[in-house]
Amino acid sequence: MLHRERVEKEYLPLYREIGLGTTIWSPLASGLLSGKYAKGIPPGSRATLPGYEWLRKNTITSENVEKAKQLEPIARDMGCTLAQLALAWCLKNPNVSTVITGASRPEQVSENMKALEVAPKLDSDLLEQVEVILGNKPQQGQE
Amino acid sequence: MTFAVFVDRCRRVNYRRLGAAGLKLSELSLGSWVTFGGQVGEEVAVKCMSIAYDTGVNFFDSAEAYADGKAEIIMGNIFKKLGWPRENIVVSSKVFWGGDGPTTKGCLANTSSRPAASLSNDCSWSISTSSSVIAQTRTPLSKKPFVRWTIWFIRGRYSTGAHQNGALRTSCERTLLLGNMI
Repeated sequence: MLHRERVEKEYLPLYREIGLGTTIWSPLASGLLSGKYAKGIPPGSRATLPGYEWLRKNTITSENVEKAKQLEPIARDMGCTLAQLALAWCLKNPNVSTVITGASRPEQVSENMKALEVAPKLDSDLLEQVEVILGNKPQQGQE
Repeated sequence: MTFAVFVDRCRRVNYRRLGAAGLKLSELSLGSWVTFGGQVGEEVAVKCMSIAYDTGVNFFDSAEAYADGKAEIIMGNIFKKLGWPRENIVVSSKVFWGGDGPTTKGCLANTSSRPAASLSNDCSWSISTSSSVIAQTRTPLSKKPFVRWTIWFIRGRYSTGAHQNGALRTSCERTLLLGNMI
């Protein structure tokens, strides 16, 4: 949701011309799109690990945290978590072959897997609502 | 696993083809970046992988550089421990491209210096459209989109004995360079 230029624009010729698929990674932006950083950085989270200072600097920005907060109500209305919404959103892209998830706890794997049931519910109206909040749709055109 | 359980498992997940390569991957997959060998040890990792597999996940991702090689080793150990049929899973890993010195960069350096990792022992299928490799060689696309792109597609049956020097050697031997096409 937060890094779209490559997957949705730059790689288009690769899908089209040589038929590559993508195995996309960090779909939850290191947990940011699970909403866990909405109230600051919790102890034990990835952002507190040594060597991951870049995460705080580049990903857990106030702008991104704000986007995550605004997406929460959409997830709530759909009866799912924000993380499930974010994963389901990735699944809607036909050029995505697989969404690589990560987890530091087994329960997170179980929760993430439920995104499979959320994806079919993500209709065009909901996608448009998400788009308005994200406000980062890559401009198509010159490649 | 009984046949009924297997069928049920496959119903829960859709499988998509990895582009023209045609390999079928579960829509959701499990990766080991940051977690395996870092935030989580083998005990938790085995639970995570089992839950994923039981849901229908068939694709697991790692890389040589994750947790200084520990992520690959943990994943490889778990494959061995759980004894999943090899044909049921697809594994990707990525060549580490780094190093600051003139002899520490690139495939050749890695081939000779890399310690044996356990992941490759278990890979009869391994694929990688390595985003890390792409990221380090990419330049903005111009009128000739593929000029400086280097994309590795690794596919092969790793035989025992071929990985004495680790995953990388086997990867290199099996790597088909698709980039630099124009």
